[in-house]
Amino acid sequence: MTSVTARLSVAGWRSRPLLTTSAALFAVAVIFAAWAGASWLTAPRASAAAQARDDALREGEQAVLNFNTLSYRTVGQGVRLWEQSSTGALHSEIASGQSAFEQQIEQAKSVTTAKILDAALTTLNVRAGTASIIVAMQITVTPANGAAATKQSRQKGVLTRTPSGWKLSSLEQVPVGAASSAGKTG
Amino acid sequence: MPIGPSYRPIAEPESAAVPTITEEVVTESPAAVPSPRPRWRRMLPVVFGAATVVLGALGGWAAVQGHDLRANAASANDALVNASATRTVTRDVTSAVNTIFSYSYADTARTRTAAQRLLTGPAIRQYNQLFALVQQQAPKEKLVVTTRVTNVGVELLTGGSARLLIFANQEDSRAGTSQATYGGAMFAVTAVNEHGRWLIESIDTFTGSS
Repeated sequence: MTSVTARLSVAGWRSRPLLTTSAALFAVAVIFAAWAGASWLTAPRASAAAQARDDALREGEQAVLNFNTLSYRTVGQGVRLWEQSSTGALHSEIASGQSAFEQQIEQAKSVTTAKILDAALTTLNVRAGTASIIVAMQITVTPANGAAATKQSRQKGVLTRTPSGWKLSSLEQVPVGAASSAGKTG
Repeated sequence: MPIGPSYRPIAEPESAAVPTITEEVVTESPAAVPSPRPRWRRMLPVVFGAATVVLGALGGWAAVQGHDLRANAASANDALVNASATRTVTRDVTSAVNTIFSYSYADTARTRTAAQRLLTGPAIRQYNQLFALVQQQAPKEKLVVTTRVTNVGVELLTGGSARLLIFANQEDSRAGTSQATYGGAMFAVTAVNEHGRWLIESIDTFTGSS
């Protein structure tokens, strides 16, 4: 039939410019999406260890700050905050020595505030959930009568990761000692 | 846009004259030749277009995310995450601090010379200014100063620069006497990596003027 032949001879891409163009653009889009997806998947990502390190440092600094802040006007509140900032041996110490310590502070009527000058982790074990921290601090003690005294303080602590964040399991002043006998304790 | 011999521009006069023939031809054509445009193939350009837009948007989003991740990774903080790099910078800076802050009245020049290799940038100038005083005073008092780092924490570590917090003990003694004083120091050090060695660029003693 002439109608059939005529129809077949004009069938083909030139007769359907819209279909051709859209199919070509689609093919380009597929290649582009595939490349972009591969580029995204192979890009380096911040590691979980880096996140743990940043969390431990931030929460450790806050805990050390808490432990160096106490006002005789709000001793109970202050010690409660110490409990929340600690775990393990340190937490037990706080919990058991609480009432005697609170009385001492109230009698002395002193206010202690602290400022962190700088802090850094010295060790980090992400799998075990432990870290060590050193903090350079400035402590200001204001007694009931008398002028405020400010001094620098070097402190080191051990952090343990708990379900509610990184907490201090020990905290102490770094002692000054003979330089010749000092080894790097990290 | 009918094409080919099947169209009939002026059908009425002819159909009125020969109605039966027209109807027969029209009836036959669907059976002889299939419709040129089934519904699903008419939709193809629209489907391709929609899919192109969706893939283009997803691809664009992924490309931007990938670029951002790479840009952040270049300046990422490797402190404690890259254990060996952390050990290297800790070792280099500890050794440098112990060296530049330890001297003996008998040979202050030795410390000064060693310090030139361990410091860089503004730190060299500042150190030399301070050390000029040391070179004057130390022989008079027969001063021997020993500094040892006790605690080091790396806060920031990238390929080229690092910041460390340092606690150190300092022992000052006078030769020929048993007098000695001990002090504890705390300061932050900024170091830069030059040709694989970490050099001290600045020291911050937290007094507001380093």
